[in-house]
Amino acid sequence: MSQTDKSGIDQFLHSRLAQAPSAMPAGMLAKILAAREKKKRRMFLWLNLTIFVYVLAGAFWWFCCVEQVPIAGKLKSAGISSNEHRNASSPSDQTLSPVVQGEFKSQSPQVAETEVKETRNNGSVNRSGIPNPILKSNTGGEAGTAGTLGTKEEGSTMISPEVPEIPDPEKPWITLNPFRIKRWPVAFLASAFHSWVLWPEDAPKGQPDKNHSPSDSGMSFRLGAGLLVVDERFDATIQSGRQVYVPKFLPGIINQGLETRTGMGFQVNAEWHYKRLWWGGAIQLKKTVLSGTYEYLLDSMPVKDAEGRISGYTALPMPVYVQGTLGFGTADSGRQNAKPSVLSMYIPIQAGYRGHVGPVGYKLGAGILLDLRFAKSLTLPSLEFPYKQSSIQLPKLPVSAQFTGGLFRDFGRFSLGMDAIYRLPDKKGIEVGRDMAIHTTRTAFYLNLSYRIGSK
Amino acid sequence: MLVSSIASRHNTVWYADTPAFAELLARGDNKAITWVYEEYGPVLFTVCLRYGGSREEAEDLFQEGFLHILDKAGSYKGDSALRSWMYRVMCNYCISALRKQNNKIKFNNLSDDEFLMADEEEPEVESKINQETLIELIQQLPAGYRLVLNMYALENKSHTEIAAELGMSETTSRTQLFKARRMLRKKMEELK
Repeated sequence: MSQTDKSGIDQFLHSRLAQAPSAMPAGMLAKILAAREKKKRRMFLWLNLTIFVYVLAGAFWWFCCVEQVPIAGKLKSAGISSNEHRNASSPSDQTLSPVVQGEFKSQSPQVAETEVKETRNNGSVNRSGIPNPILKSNTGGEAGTAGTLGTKEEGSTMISPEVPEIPDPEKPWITLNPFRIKRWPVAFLASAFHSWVLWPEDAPKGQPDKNHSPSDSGMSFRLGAGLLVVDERFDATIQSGRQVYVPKFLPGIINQGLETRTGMGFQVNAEWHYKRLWWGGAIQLKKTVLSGTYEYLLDSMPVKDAEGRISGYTALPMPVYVQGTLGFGTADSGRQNAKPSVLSMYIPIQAGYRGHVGPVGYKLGAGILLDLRFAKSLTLPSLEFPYKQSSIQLPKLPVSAQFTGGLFRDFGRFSLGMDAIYRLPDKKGIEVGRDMAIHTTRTAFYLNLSYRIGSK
Repeated sequence: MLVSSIASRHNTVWYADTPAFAELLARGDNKAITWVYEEYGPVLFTVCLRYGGSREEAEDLFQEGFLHILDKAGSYKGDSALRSWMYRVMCNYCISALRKQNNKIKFNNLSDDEFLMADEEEPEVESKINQETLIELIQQLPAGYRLVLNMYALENKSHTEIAAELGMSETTSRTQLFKARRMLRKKMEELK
């Protein structure tokens, strides 16, 4: 026999089996076609379930969490300071504060008292206890007698004038957590999220990741329930849920079916709003992964004067934002099901400018991302066919530049927008998974929903 | 559909190697799927029999692997024959599935002395064994041995490629192959 790599038995096997046909089992084609149909139905079911959960969560949030806070500018024009407004709108306070009552009494004592009583009786007092002048005038009251909150139109109803808004200087944009329950200090929270994520294998070389096959990618759903604790400036969420992975879902990448992996997780979030800054952090504990983030946001919002002109900004003399995050993880933070043997830290720091063109806002920013991992090498699969794996040596201090562009539109207290992040150089696998985000290796698209407290 | 309008088998074979035909597969055209199943299924099933630990496991692999091929069919560019492309996809699917199913595969290394001894062993290969028996013998091998033997002897992959794909060292790959060959030879000799 030869001493080459191919032994006789190898050649024998190759000649006998390499391209040899075998008798097919009976009924296999029918099984395959049936499985294909079943898979389609499951896909459809997942889609419907996701939409249903979103609708349910949205309805829950709308009915339970949205606070009917009067616009600060109107309060201002009525002679009520923002502090008084906050006092009046504290979560557990459903009654008029003495200060607020006094203000109304001084403007129109009889009407104000009557209005408060009547509107409370028919349930139209909003949570700050301010009666609704428009409602009063429409229900037969004396139009125009509700102080400075409205003007009288000849012979009919009173229309509230457009009063410029003054943002609460201590509460600029509250982002990242639209689930704010002011009515109940402690409330049950049910939430559902989904995210598109890529979770390429990232086990160190020589230690294959048991949970992944090459070219893994897909979609994950998180279903959770927990408690939300809300104070005037502090929110905390304790949440536990199940994460369901639906791998190989992305079009164009290997689609192997709706094979799911699930995992329980536990998450604690905390936010603190102090001196115009948003400080937040989260700790996430999964079965094998511990990860955490600490975030800092300085957002300089425009302040308008009584005539609607911009008179200044809340933090700095221009509409800029600075955002920094410190993230860590016992695995690649945010990368689902990654191996815990890898310790990583990611620190994105970004600053930018935010302006408006008509009703549409835009933002442009740039920053850097430090991605530190305490592992010598990563084994990453190629997402292209045929599946190959390559080994990437991580530099000691990997730094990438990131550029952000976004468009957003204000809808009263809400802002809806889309951000796109582009990172250079292309470093596979550094993206962190976030809710409502679409990631590729170099780009990320975030759908942003922001909710502003206290001002329009 | 186009497939049904093509009467001769020869024309269908030619047409099958085009992305348009693969697109039909991806869209779920039953006639195209049936044709591919009947034409290429037997060879693909042999792949599954080689990688699976039993006939039942092979059937499961074939079913999932064939669905995987249909899902992937849209990415076929026509660079190679459809049959070769499907063969590669099925092989890769089996390797991937076997890795997932056998998370506890132990890959042990051999000492240099054992390797030297291994090189000296070259008994005659029994050539009268039929295909079904040979497949059964391969199926009796431990999963790790079976995996490496298939990849090396039948897919013509090098130890470097096997090591990279399975996340092991080249030495480990050689060890697995050596043990697989030795065990297979022993089983073949027992049949005599």
